[in-house]
Amino acid sequence: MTVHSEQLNTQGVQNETAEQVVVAETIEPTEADVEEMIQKMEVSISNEENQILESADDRIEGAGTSANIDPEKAESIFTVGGFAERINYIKEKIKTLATETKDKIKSFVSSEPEVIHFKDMIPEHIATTEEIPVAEAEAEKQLYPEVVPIQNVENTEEVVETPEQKEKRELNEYLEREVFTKFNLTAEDQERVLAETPENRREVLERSFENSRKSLEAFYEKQVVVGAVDDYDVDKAQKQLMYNTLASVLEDGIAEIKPKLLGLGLDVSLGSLGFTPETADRDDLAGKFTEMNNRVRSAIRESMEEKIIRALNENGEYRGITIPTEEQMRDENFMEQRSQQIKQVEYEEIENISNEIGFPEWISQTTTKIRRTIYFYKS
Amino acid sequence: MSDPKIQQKVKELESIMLQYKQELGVLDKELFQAISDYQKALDEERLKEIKQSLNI
Repeated sequence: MTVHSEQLNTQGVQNETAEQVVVAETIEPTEADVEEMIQKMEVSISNEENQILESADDRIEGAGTSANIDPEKAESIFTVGGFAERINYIKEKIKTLATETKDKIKSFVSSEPEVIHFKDMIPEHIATTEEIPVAEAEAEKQLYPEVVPIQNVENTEEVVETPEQKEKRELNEYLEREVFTKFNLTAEDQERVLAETPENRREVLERSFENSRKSLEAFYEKQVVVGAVDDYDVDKAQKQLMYNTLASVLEDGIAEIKPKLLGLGLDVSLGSLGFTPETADRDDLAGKFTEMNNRVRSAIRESMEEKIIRALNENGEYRGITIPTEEQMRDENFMEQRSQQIKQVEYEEIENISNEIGFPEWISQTTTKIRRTIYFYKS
Repeated sequence: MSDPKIQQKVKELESIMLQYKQELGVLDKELFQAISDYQKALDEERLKEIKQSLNI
């Protein structure tokens, strides 16, 4: 009898399970699932709240840094401009919304003690290998509705281009048309630049690229453009661009004339002129160029004086100039004529040395390059 | 607790979460816009400084 009864019971469970398999194709959530769902929702709400608030703080802090503006001035604009009040108000609303939603969710936690029935421990249906992924996906949908991205909630029916997306697309088109193609940036570069470029930076970035495009195309290098974008600090990027383009004008010029200047005992370099990325601007370039020219002239004059003095000491004469006797030194007319003669010889010698090292031509070419550079930065 | 009640709970929870996400999305946008406006104000200030330094 006992055996028979067990057999009947077993048969009964099997029959019940078979019937349920037909009816229940989807997984029915249990009370335990609901509690797990509530816990996950609470964690999700806290995470999202923290993420948004932290991201906002980072952006506010980054705004001052990226604009390269005095921190006190940035703080003043933040407060006096009403941004602090406006932003804090929205942050408080986000905190309140999170707290209220968590409170609502908590009210769903059951006060009834959970009773586990033996019947519930028997699987209603043993899923096949093919059914497991489908069932898991279904369960995922039911248990974790929060996996739906925020931005899709409002646009589930139709895809409408937001102003931010429109700006991004236009920037993409602009970069493709005016910059990337021109400088042979790869699609990979483009994607990286776009991914890293803040959308609200478009106007400033465009100006930067516009300057970049116009500024001495011959001096452009891919690294310069990429470097400008890598530096979110637009002002710093501009300075870097200026330095790269302006410095190349001086560097090229110095490279041409340097061996000849070394012959005059003059060692000129960008570093010795004090031209650095931090100080580089068009005014500084003009100043450094003038300083360099003065140094070259001074070196030529010193070279000429040494040449004449050496000749007088060795030969007692150079191109009609002699060492005056005591009697000649008392003769004012003689000394006046000698002075004029020396000036003429000096002038001619300076010209000779200048021509030897190609200084006039160098000045002309470099000045043209500088003028062109400055013109493009002004435009 | 019976299954229909649990189902009902799940639906209500989903509804609360959906509403939360919609409201949060709106606030997030407002916050983003406010910070963008602040950033724009800083950029404008910086541009003024640059223009002054370049005498443009």
